[in-house]
Amino acid sequence: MASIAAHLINPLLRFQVKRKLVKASTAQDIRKAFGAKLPVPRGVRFTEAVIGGVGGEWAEPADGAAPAMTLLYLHGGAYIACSPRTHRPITGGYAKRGVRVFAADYRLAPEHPFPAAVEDGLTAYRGLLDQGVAPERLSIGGDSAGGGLALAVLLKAKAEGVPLPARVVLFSPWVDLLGTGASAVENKDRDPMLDGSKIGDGAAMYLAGADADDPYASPLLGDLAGLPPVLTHVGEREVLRDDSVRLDEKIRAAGGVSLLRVWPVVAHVWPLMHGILPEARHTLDESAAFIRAAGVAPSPA
Amino acid sequence: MQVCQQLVLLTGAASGIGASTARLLAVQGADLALVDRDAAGLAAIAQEVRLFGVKVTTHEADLADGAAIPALPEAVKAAQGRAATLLINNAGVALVGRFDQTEADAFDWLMRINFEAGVRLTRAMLPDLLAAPQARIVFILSVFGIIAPAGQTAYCASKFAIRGFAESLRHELSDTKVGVTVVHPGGIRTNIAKRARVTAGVDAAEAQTGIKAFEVALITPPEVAARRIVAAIQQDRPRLLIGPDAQAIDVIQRVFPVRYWSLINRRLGKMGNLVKTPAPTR
Repeated sequence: MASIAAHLINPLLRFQVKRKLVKASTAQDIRKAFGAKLPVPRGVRFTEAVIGGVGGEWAEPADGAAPAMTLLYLHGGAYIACSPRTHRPITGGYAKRGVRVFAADYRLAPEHPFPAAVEDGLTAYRGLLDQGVAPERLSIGGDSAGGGLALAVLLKAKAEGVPLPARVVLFSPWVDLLGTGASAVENKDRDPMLDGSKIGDGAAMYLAGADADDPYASPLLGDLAGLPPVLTHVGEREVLRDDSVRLDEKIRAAGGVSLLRVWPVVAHVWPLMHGILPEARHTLDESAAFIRAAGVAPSPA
Repeated sequence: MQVCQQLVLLTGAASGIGASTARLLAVQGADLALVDRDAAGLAAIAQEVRLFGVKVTTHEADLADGAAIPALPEAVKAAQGRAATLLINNAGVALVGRFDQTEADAFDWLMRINFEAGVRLTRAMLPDLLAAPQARIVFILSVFGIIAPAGQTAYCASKFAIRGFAESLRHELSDTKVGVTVVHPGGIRTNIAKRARVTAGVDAAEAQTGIKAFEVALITPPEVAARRIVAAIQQDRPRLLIGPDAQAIDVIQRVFPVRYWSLINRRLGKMGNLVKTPAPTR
């Protein structure tokens, strides 16, 4: 049973976001549709920073506490829209829960198409390691396109022999740019935010001619063996539901550790509604606990 | 009580409400001693909750074996290095069949798990619980600890019995630091119906129809039930009803303490002959 707030918010999203996204034809339209200002948690300090040449911002507890764990966060927005600032409800939510977050302001399409985002993500990741953050105290996470990007960065790091982080946390990740999940059709009308038939348009703008089945664009198709433990949250009604379901299956099949949480009713990347939905707070509670635990629990072999 | 840093002994932890509760307690930072007879299911949930950095031990035990239960708290103490401060009696089983179709053995088996195991565990753990600065015993019952539909003689007997035990115990312990919580979940989407033991006297096809119909009434996901249970523990609540069905049943039983059955029967009647009055024997 989902919260009443989750039921109430869905028609609003349908009107405010889905309706605009369906009509969107330019990057500007998409940026506008995703431009909502959502409440940001109090007690968090946001500081601009440049890590390894990639801009972004830190989210840390304002009381000066020094969290043991660091998270590299990659925001969503179809690789076209949004910024560390729009995703402050999530990064601030983590900071409030004892995780220090660097949200990377990676380059966006169509001005900077694939693989610019992956390059920036990996540069920021390397930058954090170079700053002395130990890989066993570093996690990587993201939502939607940022979730796919986090996974792509992970695959690239693995391929280049860069030490992998301790944990991975994904919210409604977009890991298949071909949009071949059954939920893309099944949840076309049920999803309060995204329309399954529009997945290809966003992908084309990001790819700018590159192959959608490139594993750094669609990491679901990559070699998922040898990854750190992954926690994925997705909504049951999302068109992207099966991206998460198949990712979970593939990581397990490759011998990895993967936890999948499928939440009823909630819309795409609901942790953004931190101040509104109890589900958002529960999801962040669990995700932050999962990241913090890497500091105390030995990683399972 | 705060669940963070507590050691919880949780029975029936491998699936359903137990598994969901284990996950949530781990997220909140509670150490877990997980008990179940399903070793594979136990190992899977333990591997998962260990990712949240809490100390988890697994204790494979068949709660139908009453003699094995007193050793359980000792085994937990040895494995965890301390005694549990929170006992959650969650393990429960179901039977399909009317009283005249239920063998005495099956009836007794259910009573041992749903009723006696809770009593025995409480007896074995009470000294340690009383010695703790704060402790709580939780009994996961059912709405069938409030009303008694036909076709549930053993199940209702066990749930009414453990309810009586728990409520009396709560009153006995009222001036100690040990609290008692009784939980009445409505229909929770677990495998309890699918895994119900079908008694020898029941036709297999008839049983399947009944189980299918029963599953329709399982409306609340176990994650939601678990969240409510953990919140009830944090708020030291003596009693918790879970789900709109449980709320409604509680009211109907109060208003019509005898006639409630004829009101509910129409809806439950869909469960086939299993919950109707027994056919006259020729």
